[in-house]
Amino acid sequence: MTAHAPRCPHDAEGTASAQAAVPMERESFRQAMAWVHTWAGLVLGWLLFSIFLTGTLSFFRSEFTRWMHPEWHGLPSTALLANGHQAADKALAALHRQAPGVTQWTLRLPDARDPTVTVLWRDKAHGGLETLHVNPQTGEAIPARETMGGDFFYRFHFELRTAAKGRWALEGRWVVGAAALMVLVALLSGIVTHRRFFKDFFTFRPGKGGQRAWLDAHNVSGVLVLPFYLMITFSGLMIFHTLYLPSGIATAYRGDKGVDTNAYLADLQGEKPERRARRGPSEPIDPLAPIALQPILQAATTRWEGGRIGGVQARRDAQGRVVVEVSRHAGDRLQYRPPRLLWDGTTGQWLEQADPASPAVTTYGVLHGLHMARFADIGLRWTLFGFGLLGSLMIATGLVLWSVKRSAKSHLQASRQGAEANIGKAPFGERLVAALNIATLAGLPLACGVYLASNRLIPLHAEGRADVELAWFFGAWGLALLWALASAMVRPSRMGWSVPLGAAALVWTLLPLINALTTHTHLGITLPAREWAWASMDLAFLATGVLLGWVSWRLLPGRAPRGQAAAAKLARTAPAAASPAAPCVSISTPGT
Amino acid sequence: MKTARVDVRYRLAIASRTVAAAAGGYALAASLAAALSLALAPGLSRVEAVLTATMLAWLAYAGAVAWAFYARTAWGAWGGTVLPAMALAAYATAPQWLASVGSAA
Repeated sequence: MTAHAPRCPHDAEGTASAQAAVPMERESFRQAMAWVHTWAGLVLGWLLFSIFLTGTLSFFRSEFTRWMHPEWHGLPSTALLANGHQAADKALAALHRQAPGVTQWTLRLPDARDPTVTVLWRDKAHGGLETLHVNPQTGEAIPARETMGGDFFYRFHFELRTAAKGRWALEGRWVVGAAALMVLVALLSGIVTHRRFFKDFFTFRPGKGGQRAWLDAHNVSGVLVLPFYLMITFSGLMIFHTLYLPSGIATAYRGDKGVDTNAYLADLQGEKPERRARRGPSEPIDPLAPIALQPILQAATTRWEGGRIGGVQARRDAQGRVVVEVSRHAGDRLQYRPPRLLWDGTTGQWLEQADPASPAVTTYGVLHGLHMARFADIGLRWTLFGFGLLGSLMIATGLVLWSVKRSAKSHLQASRQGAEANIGKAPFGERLVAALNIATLAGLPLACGVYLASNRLIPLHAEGRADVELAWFFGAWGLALLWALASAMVRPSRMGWSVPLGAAALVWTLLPLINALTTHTHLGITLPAREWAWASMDLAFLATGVLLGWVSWRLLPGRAPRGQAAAAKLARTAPAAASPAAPCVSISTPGT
Repeated sequence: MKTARVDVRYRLAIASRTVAAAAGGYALAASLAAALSLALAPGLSRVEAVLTATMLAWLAYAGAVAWAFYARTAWGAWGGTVLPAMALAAYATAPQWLASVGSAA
């Protein structure tokens, strides 16, 4: 006997039994894909939601980082900064004062999104990269609280980061890669599943309640910005292709001494392999001498005809020669990485420009650039943020839809059997899904709010402060999970959704107030001064809190008579489910 | 008529297809990336060949997953992913293999 995939998505059992009645026939490709879509989406849906939401927040990574460093308040905007190039010299002086034996450094010059000079460096004692933020005017290191800032969302998004200094980064990237692959499968099978692709653009019937509304919401959020999802998933897989799918490199770059990954990376970035930094942490590297930066920066500006300089790096190449690399600002074009100009650090002689232009490399660069969105100005950035939110909504509604559909099914079955007593108790799997839905969809917004609040509430000089902030984040998420398990599995309660969402609403709404009590960067100061970079964050937090509060209120028991109640609480009463027209309306075929 | 019971064979077949989709699909994608990189490298530059092959390989993975759940039988799911993967892997590793045979002779 063959294992035909069920006829109707979200409906494995029902069809298995139907198979007994219906003669064996080959099901359509679309039906098979509907089944794939359901299960690929469910299995990693919670992980996907977490990756998608933190990735969406990462579009404002610099802005979060700035908000979480209130000590940066008062730094001049780039427009007021007399000369950005001078800031590079000052930052370098600060670095040499702090770390005399530095063997590699990178400066990121201040721009509209980050008012500091960011210095990333390593020396013999510090094998990993250390970070220093320098005031571009005074050239002093800015004394600031220890925090990961927006980098946490960014790092969690692609490697499920759990500690300020990397931990399980590689394992995390593999898990995220598997999830991304699952999205690709879910998206493509979702496209096949849709018969009425374009009609779904314009179909949303919240009034119909229950399953119908959830399906419409899933379809609308899924179809509306589908190109964005395909782009973001595919580019995400490609960004880490050297990790996820290195077999092409392993054949094309195989030499006498094994696979030359360094040569591949050099080709990918348009560099000469010999200019790349020396790898191998045990090899001794001579410290860098001070370098005269001004002539180099001047020459770079001239060569790029006034284009912005994003950063400067000095390193020793494989032979130990000093190379200075000036990167153009990533906001100057779509393709990532930006062009780089290279100088000999000892003689000051210009070497070459690194900027690959062949078709496949450019395609990859554009995909990379689209994913990172460093090119985007504020309007486009908000648009991409909106797309990301819609994507999170697509995953969330898909997960809830699975629950609602299942609970409708159990309800129907139970009532057919006349076993009224069974109605209250959903099967284990359904209750587990419901619990994980609550823990993720309501728990993550709560955890993010708590993370931001912890930035203001933890004592400034606490030991391992950045990790304490993360402990608050994961602690809040863990509490949400406990609550979800309790309210959906142990003792079913109608408050399952409203409590964590309400808590999240409270935290986000209180953020501007907490900020006002603990810093001088609150709305009372930033609004009159029209410092929108600061004020817009507090206002956005407030708006998020209000939105979460509204959702929480909508899901209160007795508030929403149809549909939402079924999602909020499994299988107790689901009136919409009684309608036989509901299951599989848009995705069933005649003869089922 | 409405019994929700699912027999064990059905569950095993689904599990088998899932593994075929995940592992077989990856084998197909990896071997396609390797074979295509090798096949394209003489015409394009090496990096162009690798990138083109790798981008197409992801689509092959999605196709393999689709096939694994559409195939008539679970065995078909395995055959449709692993057999082409083995053929492509053989093509991709043939030069190395021939070189080692040649140097040994």
